[in-house]
Amino acid sequence: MSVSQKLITPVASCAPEPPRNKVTVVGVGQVGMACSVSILLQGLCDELAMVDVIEDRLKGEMMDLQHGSLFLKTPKIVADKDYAVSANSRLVVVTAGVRQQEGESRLNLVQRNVNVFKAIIPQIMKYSPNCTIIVVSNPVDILTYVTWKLSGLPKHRVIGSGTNLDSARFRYMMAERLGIHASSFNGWVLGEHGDTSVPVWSGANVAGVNLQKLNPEIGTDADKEQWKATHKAVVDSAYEVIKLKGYTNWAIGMSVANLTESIVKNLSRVHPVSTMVKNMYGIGEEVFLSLPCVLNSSGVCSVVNMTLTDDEVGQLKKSADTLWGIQKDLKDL
Amino acid sequence: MLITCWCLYLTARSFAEQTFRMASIVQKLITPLVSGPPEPPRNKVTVVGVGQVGMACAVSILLRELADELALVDVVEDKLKGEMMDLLHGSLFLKTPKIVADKDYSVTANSRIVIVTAGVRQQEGESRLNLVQRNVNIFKHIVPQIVRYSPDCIIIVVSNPVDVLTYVTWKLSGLPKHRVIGSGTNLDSARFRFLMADKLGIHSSSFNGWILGEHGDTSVPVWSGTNVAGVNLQTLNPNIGTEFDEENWKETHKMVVDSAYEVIKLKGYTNWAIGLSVADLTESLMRNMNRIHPVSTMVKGMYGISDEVYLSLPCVLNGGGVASVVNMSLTDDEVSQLQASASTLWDIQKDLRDV
Repeated sequence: MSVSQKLITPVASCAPEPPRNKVTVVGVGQVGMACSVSILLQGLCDELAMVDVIEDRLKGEMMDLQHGSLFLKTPKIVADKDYAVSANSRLVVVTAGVRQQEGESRLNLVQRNVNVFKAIIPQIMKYSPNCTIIVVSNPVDILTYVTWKLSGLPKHRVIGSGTNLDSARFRYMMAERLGIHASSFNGWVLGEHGDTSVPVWSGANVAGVNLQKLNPEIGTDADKEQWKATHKAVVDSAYEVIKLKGYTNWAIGMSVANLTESIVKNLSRVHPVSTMVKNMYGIGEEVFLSLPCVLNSSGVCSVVNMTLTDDEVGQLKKSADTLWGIQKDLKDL
Repeated sequence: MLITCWCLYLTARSFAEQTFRMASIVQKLITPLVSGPPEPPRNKVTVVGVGQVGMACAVSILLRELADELALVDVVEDKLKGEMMDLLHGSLFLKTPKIVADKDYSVTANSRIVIVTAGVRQQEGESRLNLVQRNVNIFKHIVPQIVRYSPDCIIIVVSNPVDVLTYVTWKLSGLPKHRVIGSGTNLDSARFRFLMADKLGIHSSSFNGWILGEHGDTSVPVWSGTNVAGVNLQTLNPNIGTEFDEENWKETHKMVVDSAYEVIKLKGYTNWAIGLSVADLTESLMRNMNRIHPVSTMVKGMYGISDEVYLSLPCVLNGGGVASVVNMSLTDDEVSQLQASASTLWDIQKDLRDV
């Protein structure tokens, strides 16, 4: 008898239980791995699958994570270029595609990434027809639209990581100026994840004290304290970090784990994520933009109706037009 | 008289309102109670080197909430600043309120624990021992700076060859030996426990097994101690780990030794597992836990070893560093493997200059 047979007497002889909280990460670049590690370190899934086209790198990353099993509570970590490995996922995080080079805008990546997605999305759906998809690849709002079209999923199950990260950066930078922790500063950045994101100054508050009431010019050019510069720093962040280290990954990884937590634990927390906004705020096209969404196990279960100023609504509409301008030319969706 | 008072009152009120209008949001929103410098950190961790390993250590430590301040140091200034910013942008999701970075070591002042990952790494096919002279030269710059700003810290050395570099760090730092630890075979043991447990269908944490000695090609798997729920595997299979073993369990240890080379071949480097294992050590030290880990410590005088070498043995780690070493019951063969590692390491160490 082998050591295993002498040591262990099986009691339940049926096949192993299928996973209940499986997460798949598509793309094992810097962003995909940062998402994976953040998710693993928070113990959010009972199985993690990784998919990519570069087989060596994929296997190396899988082994490196498996070697850390002693320190983790995720008993099964698998990886393959074949999507069969992703079967029965609750959540699929898509980070695959090309990324911004130094100085390049996110919108420039669109056609290359649409082509990558045409290969990926149908495969995801084949193996996890009931999943929720979080799209991270840029330009995220357009690619979330593309994913929605290619997947055939209802709109509440396709989420773009959107301005969850912009809002996290905004809250950190505003909080720093006030000498408090980011989680104690409430502020929302909505709309496009990119150069035209909209900081909702009218909602910015600390302990319920509205900042716009304390400084009615906040966020305008006339503001002596130049709070607008803080939003500009948020927009510039990604370009700055890319210039310094070549890419960004830690912050986006943590923000994706934050969204994952709300979905997997059915929390109904509100996050600014990219969702289908046709018929809201006078937007007539099928575009995805970030609004405050209630996230739980069904995906985007509802959207919070913001009280926006006319100017803020105008900015959202403008983002919607810019995005539709690009989307209408995409073929074969 | 009444009119004068009223006018004075109105003037005063208008002045106050104007001052209020001129006051910034911070001044209107927040009334300080405590003035003077902010409290110094109590659980500060510094990571030296922001390559893949350093950042994996940093992120694991942040996500495990082990530090109240994290400092990063490196020589490549752009990358260092970019990494710091990327971590700061995740502040909303973290409980470490201060993250700083600079090439100047003053940023590391008052650290409890300093993790050294700086240096060159193995290329494909290269052994760890080959890196030694290059990394000794780097350490000559780093270690005195660390100790200058954090004279009471505990240093965890991760850079390879870790056992030799832990010796070098001990010499260069002047710290007592219980405050200089090499990450050693903590990772090898984690890999061993994962691979063995996987074969038995259980979780790594339920498989007990220790790999000691050199972190590298000559590490020693202590088969006599391997057990699950106290059931000793060598008792079930007396040939375990030998050439005569029909089940060829020895192969599992060989896979542990080959792991790093394999992962490097596939993805260019390893980082996640070592990052997690360093966070595990940091937790024991920071939280004063008295947990036992196989880490590299000064072993002169033990197991017939007469040179000042660092090798991994099971060490009790707490807030003071290495509190004590567990006396293993090793077979003669295992003892001689340790002695062989010690000789190999001393051979390299004796030729190092200015240490």
